[in-house]
Amino acid sequence: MALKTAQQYLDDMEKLVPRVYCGGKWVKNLLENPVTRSMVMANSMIYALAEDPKNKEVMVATSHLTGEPINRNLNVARNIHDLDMRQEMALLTSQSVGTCNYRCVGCDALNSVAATTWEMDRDLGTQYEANFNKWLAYAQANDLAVSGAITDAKGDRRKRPSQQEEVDTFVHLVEKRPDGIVVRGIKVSQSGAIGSHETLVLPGGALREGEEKFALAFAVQNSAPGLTYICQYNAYSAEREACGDVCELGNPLYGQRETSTMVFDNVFIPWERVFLCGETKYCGRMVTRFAKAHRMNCGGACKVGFADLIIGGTMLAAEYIGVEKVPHIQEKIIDMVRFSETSHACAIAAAMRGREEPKGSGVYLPDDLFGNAAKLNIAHGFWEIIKNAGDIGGGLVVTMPRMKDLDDPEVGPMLKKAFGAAAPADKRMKVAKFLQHWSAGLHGPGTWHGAGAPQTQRFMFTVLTDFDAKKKMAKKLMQMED
Amino acid sequence: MQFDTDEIIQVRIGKSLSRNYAGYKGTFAALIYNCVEKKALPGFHEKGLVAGAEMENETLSLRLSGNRPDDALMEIMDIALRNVSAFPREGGEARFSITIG
Repeated sequence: MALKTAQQYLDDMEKLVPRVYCGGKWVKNLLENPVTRSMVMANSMIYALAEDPKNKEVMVATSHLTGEPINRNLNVARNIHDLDMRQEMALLTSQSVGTCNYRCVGCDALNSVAATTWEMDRDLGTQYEANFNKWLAYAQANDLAVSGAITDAKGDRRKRPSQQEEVDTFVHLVEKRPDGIVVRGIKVSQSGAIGSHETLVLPGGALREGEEKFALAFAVQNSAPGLTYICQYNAYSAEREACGDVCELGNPLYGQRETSTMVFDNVFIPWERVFLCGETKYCGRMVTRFAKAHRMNCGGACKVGFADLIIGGTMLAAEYIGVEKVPHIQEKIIDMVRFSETSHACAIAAAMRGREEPKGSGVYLPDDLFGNAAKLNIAHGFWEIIKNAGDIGGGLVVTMPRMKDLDDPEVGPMLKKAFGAAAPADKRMKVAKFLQHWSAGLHGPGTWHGAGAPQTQRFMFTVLTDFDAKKKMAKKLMQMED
Repeated sequence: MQFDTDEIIQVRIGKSLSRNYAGYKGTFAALIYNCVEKKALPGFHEKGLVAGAEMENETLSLRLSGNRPDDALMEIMDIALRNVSAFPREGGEARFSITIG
């Protein structure tokens, strides 16, 4: 089996029992808890997209290891076309689920690991790439859902990992054994880890000599004993638990982005699953390469899919109250398209200007500057997009009653009278709830921080931009002497 | 390109019930560590399920608490194996085995 169906993935999830805590309860079955179910259903849709022949070019790739067809979420990009289809996959998946493709971080992480393990084996004579390729071939053959874990809890930001009072704020090595390693520590904000078969864990950032025990990359099964997931919990989680009918919600089937805090309490990782252990020099590269890929995809393309949904919903909201032809409404919608498509253009540029890194590895990564531009642009643009959605959607976006109140014999007729406009009240309220999901939900800060907060992109701009060259150009045109 | 990725693990319960699973290399080592050192089975979080675990000659002998019929024991092991990304495999020569008592 190289491509799993959505049903086969759901069958797997029936039997996968990671140790998950969500909103005060231990979750016995991911599909029976309404909050965790939304995450699993979103992942199942990612599998379903790959089943549909019309998505084949985007969702299915050819394994460079075996030549077999594989889900693109497990593909290592080997050329520009792969990069382009990778960002198109980010677009398609976010348009289809309105939340994370929960296999996305894992996909970008495995590209980074492929590049960096190749480099380590070349430089150090290690066997990490061989281990990684075997693990990847296994993951591809079984079409595993692989999430990615990068962000450590980090503790006191003034201190290095080894100076922390609580060393578990960084995932670290506890013991080296003949058959594997034992690790402990905490990774945070892990999108969709609970409903994945496995998680690819990377170091959280660059490390220095003396910090070897924090230099780790490995793959772990999601139910490995010692691993606990503490799910995010917020007003949207509570609403999902209480609503009784998911049709009440802004994104009924797939929900908000579901993340968890992953706690590793002496988890055993066999050597075959270890892809970096102690080589501090390569941690920064591994993380930077991940960020390079993820900023093109998560920043430049995924959020463009979200924007498409928000723009569509906003246009419906305008039509339902009869203002779709008002010039300032049209102008605001055009602005939403401008922010969105500019980011998509940056993502496409990042793919088209991608290159092999490191030379000889066969792994292609996107252009760093354009990828960072994509992410920084959408981080700011997304707030403008949801601002306009809230503007055009009107106060109803946050003042509406429940959908099911329309059916109440006493207040239903009043609500239908109050909110009927150019379209019936139920349509207006449905689209208002949809826009509430976006403009008053979790996606604003999520888009800001996902793939790194904008300050990291600004820093990368200072590193990647040749400012001296620009000054020289200006001086030359001005005929100015040095 | 062929990749030697699998290790086949045979689960044996009693004299007649057995099933093969294929997992990625290292899966058996992880099961040994978790059963012997942590007294834990993947996918089962209540303490006390693993009453005993011993390793000898590539065979992990597991003793589970409670008096369960063979079918129920196999179901437990099926869940445990799937929770370490090992899936049922028809045929193949098992290098490792788990016996349940």
